[in-house]
Amino acid sequence: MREAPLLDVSNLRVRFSTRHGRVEAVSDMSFTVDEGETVAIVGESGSGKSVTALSIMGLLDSGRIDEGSIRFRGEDIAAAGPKRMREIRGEEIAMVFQNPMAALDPLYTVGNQVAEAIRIHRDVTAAEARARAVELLKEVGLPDPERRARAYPHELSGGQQQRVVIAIALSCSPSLLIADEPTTALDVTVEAQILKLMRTLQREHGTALLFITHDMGVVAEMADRVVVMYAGQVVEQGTVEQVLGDPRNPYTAALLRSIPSPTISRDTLMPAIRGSVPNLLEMPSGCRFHPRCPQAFDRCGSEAPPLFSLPERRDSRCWSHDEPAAGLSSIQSGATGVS
Amino acid sequence: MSAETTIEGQVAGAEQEVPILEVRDLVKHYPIRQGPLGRGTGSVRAVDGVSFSIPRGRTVGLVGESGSGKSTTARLANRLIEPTSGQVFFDGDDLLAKRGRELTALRRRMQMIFQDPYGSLNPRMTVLNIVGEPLEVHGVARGKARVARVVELLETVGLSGRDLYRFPHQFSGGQAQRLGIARALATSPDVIFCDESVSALDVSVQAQILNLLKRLQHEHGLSYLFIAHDLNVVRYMADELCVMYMGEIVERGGSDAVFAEPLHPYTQMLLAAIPGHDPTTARARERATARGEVPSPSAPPSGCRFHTRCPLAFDRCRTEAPRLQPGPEPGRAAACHLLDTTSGGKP
Repeated sequence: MREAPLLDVSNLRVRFSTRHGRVEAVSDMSFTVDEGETVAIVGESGSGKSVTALSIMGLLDSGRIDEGSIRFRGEDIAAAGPKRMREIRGEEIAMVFQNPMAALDPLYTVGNQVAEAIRIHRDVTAAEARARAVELLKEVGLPDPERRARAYPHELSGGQQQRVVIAIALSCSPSLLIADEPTTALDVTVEAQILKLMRTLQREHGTALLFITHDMGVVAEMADRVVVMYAGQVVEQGTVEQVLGDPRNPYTAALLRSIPSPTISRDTLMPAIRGSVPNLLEMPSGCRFHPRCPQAFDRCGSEAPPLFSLPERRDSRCWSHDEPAAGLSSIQSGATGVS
Repeated sequence: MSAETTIEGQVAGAEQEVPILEVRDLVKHYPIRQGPLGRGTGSVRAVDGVSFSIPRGRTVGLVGESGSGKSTTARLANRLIEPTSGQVFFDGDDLLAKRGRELTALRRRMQMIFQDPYGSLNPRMTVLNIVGEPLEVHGVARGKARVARVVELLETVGLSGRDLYRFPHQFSGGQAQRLGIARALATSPDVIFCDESVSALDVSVQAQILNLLKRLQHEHGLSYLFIAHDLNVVRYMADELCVMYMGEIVERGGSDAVFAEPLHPYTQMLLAAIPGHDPTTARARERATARGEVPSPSAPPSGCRFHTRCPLAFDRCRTEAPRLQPGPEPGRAAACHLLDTTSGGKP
């Protein structure tokens, strides 16, 4: 962490214009990813985790980055033009999406699609690209790669399709791979295989991984560090052991409790979080989690808490940390006056 | 667990009691038609000889990978689709022999809650009509009585009378699923089929819905057939488990027993693949990786259908299909040659 991080997202704010008005999908988002590191962004629907990923890739459709910077190896790619972004995408940063069937073109064989990705970024002949494609398909564990390279996406299972998507993502040896719920559509058995593949590839190529997920099991298995998002904001970050083992933010703690554990008795009720994730158009005042928070007090409803920096390089957004006696200080006072 | 259920249940003669739902040897084969004349060239054996029963007030869980036949089994059991062969008994009545009004009367007592709360609610209908429709269809209540009953149902699931004239899109995913549950409850059913009913929900909301289902079971004596891909969710909900692989039940038993000591190699593989939530153990263990993927259902492997992925397979597994063998405790069974005590398992 002493070197400059590979990716440095700082004070990112993303807004969308909708029929019902402007909504802020991501507010004041800051995090870093180091070379070769795995960072997981975890959150429920509407937390802004996917919008963050799309912002990094320069793939926001109707949304706009209103504030903040996204530095990749020092270069602010939030300000980069479309031509530069095309070079960065695939070459430097690649992405794997949730639904492999939507990421692959049904009209081309998978071998062709991997070869095409290679030829866009590398000056090689069609035959060379083709040979490299088969090698990549072998590397991602597709059985019988020579033959499968001639298959169309629909002829492969969901797990095999996701392997092809990973092969395309890795075709130009990116230094950062963003994976947005890459195993959510897969069976648990196949999920274990794909995650293992991603870990192996990461070890061999030194690729940094930014994992977007709602699944704490995936986080526990994959991540070095975790960023927990709620309603467009970072509410907690730290190492995976800190955040999952000893959460400081009431939302993180409640979220972990509401996952059925293998030992919970059938005769007890689940410790659920009341209410539901807020609509971006009707963001609660003060702390965005306060209407659902079991520990909320007066201040939480009126004043938005900043992200407090806690000992041992971890952060949490909660007024409960604002106790002078505890010797805690706020790094970004009044971080979010908006909404 | 058993101590708890004995308090509420009609304990005496629990053995003899007629299960609310029993399926025997259910089979559903889909013909594969190819070519211009649509000639049959074989069939997909979606469900191939499934038997189980749901005792009153209890929950039976179906688990297995996608394509294992869980959803088809649920739809056969409530006769949304007709089986190729087999029998379904609802409260002792032969469901497949019923026609017309008799069938409608039985259907009223079984309802379904689907995975996609929005997809299963008509976007053009108000809450009053969505939840009130089954009341009309089954002639339970009309006019003011219907409105009153809908309000009561909404309150039961944690919504309110203020929601009567709202439309599905005005609800969050969790609230929409509550609507689906209110609709399912409208006819006071005995059995509710929950097919991935909580799978699309956020974790924080999922816990609420699970609690709601538990409470309703307790208050109304409901029985559930519960399908979910999250095995921890199924273990929490289900008293008994049936593990399915390629259209067959390969293991059954009490949930805790199956989780504690899975008998079938497939169950062992499935349980080993569950991600843990403790980072230290999750990484140390590196989740025992399952081998391969489910083969094509149109050409199931010979012998034991799991033998192509089974780490313990031996010659007999490739040629002879294993039958469900009783396990060490009552109520437990698994279809694996290794459990065949007559031949001592392995040759």
